[in-house]
Amino acid sequence: MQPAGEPLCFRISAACGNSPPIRIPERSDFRGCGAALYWCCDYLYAGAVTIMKHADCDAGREWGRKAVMTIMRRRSVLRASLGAVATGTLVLPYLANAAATTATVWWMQGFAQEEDVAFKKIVADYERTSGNTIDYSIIPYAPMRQKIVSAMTSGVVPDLFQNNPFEIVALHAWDDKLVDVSDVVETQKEEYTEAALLSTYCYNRTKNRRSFYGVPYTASVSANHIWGSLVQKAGYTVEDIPKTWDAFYDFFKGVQKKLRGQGMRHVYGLGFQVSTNGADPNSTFNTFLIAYGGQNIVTSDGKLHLDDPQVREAAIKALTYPTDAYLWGFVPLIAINWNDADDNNAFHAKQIVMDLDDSISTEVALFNKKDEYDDIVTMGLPLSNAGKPVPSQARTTCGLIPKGAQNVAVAKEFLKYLIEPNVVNEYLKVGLGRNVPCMPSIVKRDPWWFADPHRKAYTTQALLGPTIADYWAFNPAYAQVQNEHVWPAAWGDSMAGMTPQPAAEKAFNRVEEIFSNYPIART
Amino acid sequence: MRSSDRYGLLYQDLYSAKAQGLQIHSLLILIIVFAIFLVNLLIAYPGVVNYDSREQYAQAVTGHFFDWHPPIMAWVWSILRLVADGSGPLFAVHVVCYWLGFGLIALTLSQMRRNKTAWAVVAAGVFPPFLLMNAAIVKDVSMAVAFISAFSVCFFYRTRGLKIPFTTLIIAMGLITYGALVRTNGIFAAVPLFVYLVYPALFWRPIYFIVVSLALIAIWIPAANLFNHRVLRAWPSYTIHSLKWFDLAGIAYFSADESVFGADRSPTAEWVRECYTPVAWDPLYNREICHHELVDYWPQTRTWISAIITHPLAYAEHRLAHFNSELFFIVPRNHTDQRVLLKQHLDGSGHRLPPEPVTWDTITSYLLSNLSAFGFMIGVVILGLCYRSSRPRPSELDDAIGCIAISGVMYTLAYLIVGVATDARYQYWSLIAIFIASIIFLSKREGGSLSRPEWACVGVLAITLIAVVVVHAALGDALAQIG
Repeated sequence: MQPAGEPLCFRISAACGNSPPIRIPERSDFRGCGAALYWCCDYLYAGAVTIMKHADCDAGREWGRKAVMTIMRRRSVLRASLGAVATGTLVLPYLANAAATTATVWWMQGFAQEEDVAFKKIVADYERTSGNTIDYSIIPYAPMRQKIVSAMTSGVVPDLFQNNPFEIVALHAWDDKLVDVSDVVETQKEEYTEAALLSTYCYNRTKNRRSFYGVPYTASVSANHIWGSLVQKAGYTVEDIPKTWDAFYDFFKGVQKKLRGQGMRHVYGLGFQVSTNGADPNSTFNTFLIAYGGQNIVTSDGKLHLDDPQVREAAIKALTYPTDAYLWGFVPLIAINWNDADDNNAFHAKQIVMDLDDSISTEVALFNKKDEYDDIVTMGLPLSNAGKPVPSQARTTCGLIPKGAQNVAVAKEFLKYLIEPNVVNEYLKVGLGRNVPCMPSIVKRDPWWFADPHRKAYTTQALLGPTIADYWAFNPAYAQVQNEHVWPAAWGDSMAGMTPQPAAEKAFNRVEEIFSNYPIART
Repeated sequence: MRSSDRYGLLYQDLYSAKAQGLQIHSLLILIIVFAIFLVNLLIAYPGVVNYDSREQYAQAVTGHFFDWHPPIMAWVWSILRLVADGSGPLFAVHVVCYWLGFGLIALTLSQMRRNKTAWAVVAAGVFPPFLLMNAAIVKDVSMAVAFISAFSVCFFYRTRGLKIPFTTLIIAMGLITYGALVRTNGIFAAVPLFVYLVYPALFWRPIYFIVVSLALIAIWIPAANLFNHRVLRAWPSYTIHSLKWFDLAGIAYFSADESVFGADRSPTAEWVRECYTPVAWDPLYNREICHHELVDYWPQTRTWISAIITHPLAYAEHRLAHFNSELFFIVPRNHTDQRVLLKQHLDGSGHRLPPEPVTWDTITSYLLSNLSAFGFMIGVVILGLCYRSSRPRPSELDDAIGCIAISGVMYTLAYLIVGVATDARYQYWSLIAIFIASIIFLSKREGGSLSRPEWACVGVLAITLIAVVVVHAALGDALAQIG
């Protein structure tokens, strides 16, 4: 007799005899016992495992006990084996065909429910058109990152997922873990922005060349989100906001002073993400770096240019301005440990007058609160201090097909369908336009993108204004730089009392060290 | 001799207090203090953070401690962050300690049937410059609330002639140690508290007291350094260099001898005139036209001491000029404003844009700065009077007055030697200590008329107060002088 509550996985594994156990990938529906699950022989216990997929963990254990009780009798084992072999012989060809037309897709949950609705509609339309099946799972942002890590580590992967976080396209391309999707990109290549194409044109160190490893379908940039009512309450109008970089952000310091003078003692002028968590701090640093003239820190050939005095000076300035703003009290105290969503929350609570943040999710989240939605002013990046336009770094979301995917063809076909201009346009529109397409022709043809003040400002910035690709696309070393939060950590040093110069030097050394591990041959 | 025999009158007071149990006044004080504590906590929550405390919070979050600000506060903050992010938990601890201190002193006095004095202590707790300042999350407040709560605990037992229970003794010792660690010069205020905790009779043997104090300070400074660097693993910021730069520039200014900087640095007389101010060392390093002389200049201790020995008068002039600034005595209004120190208007340009002081800050700084010189004079006077009245046999109240007055005065006097900057908050502990000492001292005078020496002291204080008001009015506003 086996003790109650013993995991099924262990029992089945023990019953395998000499058969090598095959590890089943960790899945949400196996949560709790997944890590220890083993599958002895795919035909013998396939039925049991299939049933388990639809049961919760406890029920799975219950089934396991019954299964083991059966297995323990030699005669029943032989009978079951023969039955399974016979059934498998008859059924497997049909199962294989069915699998060939089914792609497993992991898709990020949208910030607004409408985005999920839009995706489901696309899937339904595609399935109707193609006859293929998309077995999708809509997964929240953070868990999906973990699932991707697990999948890519174990090698048991879905057929398609997005680049969450953005830079994994470059990292996995570098390690030759992604399928080349040039043929998919080629179908709409003329439509894409240069930044979108460069974002997925990544280097493969095994093949020593670059190719397209992601299929871009949407882009986002860092924009300024401002409470118009707070600016007005401070005695200004939105038109008073200066156009050049430092003056632009200094303006909100003045707004804070005025508001505090009126008794709003918990309001802060600036919502900079100065923490070492998530993606936003890296975006904020890069935005400041580019604004101060450090755009060429990494060039499209993958080379690092920290030897360029202009880049170094820009990096020091990008470390100085936000940390000064923090230390002088223009940024909330706890911004140093904000997560990606915390600045949005602080903005919604009107704790900060402005927020520099990716996409217009801040606005979209208030779509059903008309007064507040209309109160927010969305603005692109100000001009540089020299009065020149500052390119926005366009972060491109794309579809990735990992090597080891079972149905590459269906995944590619689905992606081709997804990036058809009409399809992707409708998808992003139903998703309230939080992210813009990365094809300018779409927005030029469809006035919807300019019918709302937030969308208009954002679309203009992200698609019609100057944009550049993320640096990790040029060299995945920058992805590691961002994963380690090298620049935000330098902010931390600076805010903790180190002067910006040595904090910057420390960061420069680390960045150079990381880049030395990612040599890129000239291609 | 039993201490209760030694202080006969007090013993009778205490005896009757014990017999009556918790008096109505004591109960009222408890209720009122608790109510004020709650109001204080709710209204000022989560406290106000400034530039320095933001640096310390960043250290608490990143775990990278620097010793520019002694790291103990950041370390404590890093633990309190487990309760909640931000300044709230530390602020709450400060307010608890603050009202524990004032409340326990008032309660003790009330149980001694010194009700007027007890209520005066409660009033001191809500005295605007003290109350407003306790909202600030700064190391000065952290030190002050640690000291006041430690003192109150000792006061509670000492005035009863009771032995302090071991656990309480450890808690008080911990609070005093924290206070001594949280500011580099905190040890000067902590020594009298240590003495009060361990052996209060030492106050009345001045020579012994001075020797013990010097010994404790001499041991403490390297021990605190070891603790900061080895235990808390704080990165050294070499704060001592700011004192060396400040002193060398001051000596060069008053002696007109620029060679004091040593062989490897030769600033011009013009540089010294332009960059030195007795107010603070900051312009030497932070003004653009001054900064270049100090880049990579780390003066040897020998150079520093040699300059002091060579120009003792210039050193004394420099330190006294700084002390005058520290006490906000013969100085114009706003003389510590960054725009004045850096001789430029910062508003509207550059990254380093200091936030305009909010009303709270302005009022607090104004009140504290105007009280500084006056408070120091009161401290000196109370010490003198207390010493005189304690003869031939000091009472336990004399011990308490001596402890807290010496602590306040010593802490201020330390700026004569180690001060490098001027800020109203630096006098926070000194003013609290001296006000409490004064209140307790005056309680001894309840119902009695003043003696001639006491009248003389009142006269000196009145003259000081008038002088402060007149001088400030005459010197005007320093901000106006920079255009």
